[in-house]
Amino acid sequence: MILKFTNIILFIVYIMGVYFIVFWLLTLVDKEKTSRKMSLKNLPKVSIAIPAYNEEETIVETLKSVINLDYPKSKLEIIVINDGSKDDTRKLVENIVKQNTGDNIILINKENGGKASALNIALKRAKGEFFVTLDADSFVREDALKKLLPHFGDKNVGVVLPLLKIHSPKNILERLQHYEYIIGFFYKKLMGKLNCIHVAPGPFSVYRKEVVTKLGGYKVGNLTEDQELTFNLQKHHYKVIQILDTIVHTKAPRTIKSLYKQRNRWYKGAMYNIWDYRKLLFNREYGDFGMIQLPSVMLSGVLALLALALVLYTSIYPAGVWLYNLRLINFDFITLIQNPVINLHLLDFDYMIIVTMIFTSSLSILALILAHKMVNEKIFHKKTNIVSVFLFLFVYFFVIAFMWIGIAFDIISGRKQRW
Amino acid sequence: MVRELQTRRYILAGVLTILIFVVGLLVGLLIENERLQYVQRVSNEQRIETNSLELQNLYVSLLSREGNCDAISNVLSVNLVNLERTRERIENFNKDSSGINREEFHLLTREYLIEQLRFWLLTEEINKQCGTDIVTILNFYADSEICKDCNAQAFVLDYLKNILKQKLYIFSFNTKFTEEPLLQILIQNYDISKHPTLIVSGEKIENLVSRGELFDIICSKYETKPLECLKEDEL
Repeated sequence: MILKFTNIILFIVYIMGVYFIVFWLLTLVDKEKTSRKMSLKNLPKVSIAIPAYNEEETIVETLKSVINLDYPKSKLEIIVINDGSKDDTRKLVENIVKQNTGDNIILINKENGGKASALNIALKRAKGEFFVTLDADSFVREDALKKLLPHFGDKNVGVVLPLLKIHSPKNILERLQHYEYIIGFFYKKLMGKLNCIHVAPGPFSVYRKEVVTKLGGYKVGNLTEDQELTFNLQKHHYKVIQILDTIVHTKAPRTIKSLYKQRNRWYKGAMYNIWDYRKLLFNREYGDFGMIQLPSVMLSGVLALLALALVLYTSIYPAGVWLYNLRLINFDFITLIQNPVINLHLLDFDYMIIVTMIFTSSLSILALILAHKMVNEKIFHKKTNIVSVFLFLFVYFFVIAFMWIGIAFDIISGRKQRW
Repeated sequence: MVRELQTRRYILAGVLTILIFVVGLLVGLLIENERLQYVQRVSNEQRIETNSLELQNLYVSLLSREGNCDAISNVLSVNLVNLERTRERIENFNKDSSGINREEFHLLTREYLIEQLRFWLLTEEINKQCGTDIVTILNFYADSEICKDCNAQAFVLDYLKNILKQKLYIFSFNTKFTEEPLLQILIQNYDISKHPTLIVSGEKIENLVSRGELFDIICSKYETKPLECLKEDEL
C-alpha cells in the first residue's frame, strides 16, 4: 500500500476533526452540573471599567446602557478611562458626567498606552468587590449584573461571562458574524461544562476583583490581554462560567479589511498566549483545559489551513485543469453542449468526498440549530436571511480560513522578534 | 490541586472515532469490490462483443459481402465508444483504489489493453475489407504523474471525436504495460519516447497538439474530405 505524504496529512486531519467533534458531541449530551448560587440579598459593590480610545461614535450609547443598569447607584461605580483619544470622546464623557452627577461616573484621562494599561489603572482605582470590563462599543441589557452576579456562589469562580451578540447586524458581513457568535457561544457553553473556556471577552465580563488583582491584572503589550488574563485564571484553577440568559450587544467589523484586522489580532494573540502558557499544554494538572482545549485552539489555525488546502485542491484544481483544456479547443462550448457525454455510473462517484461533505454540512446545520435553540433565537427572521445562513454554512469558513494564511505568515515572519 | 479530567470521555471519543473510520474503510472496500466486479463484468461483455465482431468480419471477408459493411461499421463504433468509456473508468477506479486490490486492477487494466489492441487490429482489418474512409488515431499516453499534458490531449481528442463522430477512431494505450509484447512492438515501431504521442493514420505527432493543428492533420488524411472538415475550413 503506497501512502503518499498528502494522504497521510489528509488522514490526520480527518481523524483529528472527527475526534474533536465526537468529544464535544459527547460533552453536549452530558448533563450539566449545577453550581452553588450567590444570594443577592446584600448586593455587592461593582466597578465597571470602560476603556475608550477614539470611541466618539458609540461611547454615549455605551454609557447610557450602563447608567440604565438595574442596580443601585450607591453600589455601582463607572470608570471611563480615556486612553489618549484624539477625537471628541473626552468631551462627550465629560458632558455625561455633568448630566448624571448622581451616577458615580469617574473619567480618567491618560496618555495613550493601550487597553491593558487603561484597565490596570481602572483596576487600581476600583473600589468594588467585582470588576467589570466593558468595551466602549458595546451595550448591556438592564438585567446584566443581576443575571451574572449570582453565579459567583463558589469561592473559586473567577469570572462570569454574558452572551455576546452583534449590535444590529445590517450588512452581510455583520449577519455572518451574528451566526458565528451564536455558534461560538454555544461552543463556549460546552467548554464551560468542562471548565475549559479560554477567553473572557472585553464586553461585560464580570471578575472577582481580588482575584484579578492577585494575578497582577492585565499584561501590557499583549495582543489579546483579555485572553491572557483568562489563561492566567485557568492556570490558577479559577472557574470561568458562561451564561446565556443575558445579552451584551457589541459592534462588529463592517468590512472584510477590519474583520481581517480583528481576527489577525485575535488569532495571533491566541497563538502567542498559548506559547507563553505552553506549560499547560497536555498537562494533567490543568485537566481538560490543558488536555483538549489548548491543543484544539492551537491546532485550529493549522486545521483551518489544511481544510482550505484540501477543498481548494479538490475543487479549484480540477476547475483549473478544465479551463486549461477548454483553452485548447478555443472555448468551443457549442460542440460540447451539442454532444453531451452522459456517462454516469453509480460507482463513479468519489464517496470519500461526498461523505465528508454530507458529514460536515449536516454537522454545521445541527450546530446552527442547537445553538439557536440554546439562545432562544430563530434562525430565519426575514427572507434575506436564507442567503446569509447559506453563506454562513458554506462560505464563511473559507473567509476565515483565507485570513489564516495571512495570520500564519505574520506568525512565522514575526517569530524572530518575539520568540 | 489536580483538576477534573474526563478520561473516560477521551477514551470513548477515541473508540468512536476509530469505529467511524473502520466503518468508512469497510464501506470503501465494499465499493472497491463492487467496482472490480463491475469492470470484470463489462470486460466479459466486451470480449463477447469482440468475438461477435470477429465473426461478422470473417463472414464479410470470406463471402465478400461488402454490402454488410455499413452494419458492421455501426457496431464497431458503438463498441469503440464503450471501450473508451470503460478504459477511463478503470483508470479512475484504479486511481481511487486503496491499494489492497492493486494486483487485480493491474490485471484488469492489462486485460483491457489486450482487448483494445485486438479491437484496433480488427478495426484496421474491417476498414481494409470494406474500404471505409476512416482516420485512426493511436494515443500513446502515460499516467498523469508522468505526463501532465496527456489529460489535455485526451480532452482535445474527445472533442474532435464529437465533431467527426464515426469518421474518427481513437485508441488509447498506456505505455506503462511493458509486459505486453504487442504494445512493446508498437512502441518500438513508432519509436515512442515522448508523451503524449499520437499516430494519426501512420503519421507521428509528438507532444500536446491543440484543436486546430490536429484537426488539419486529421482532415488531410481522408481520401474525400468529410463535410465537417469543409465546414471548419469555411470558419
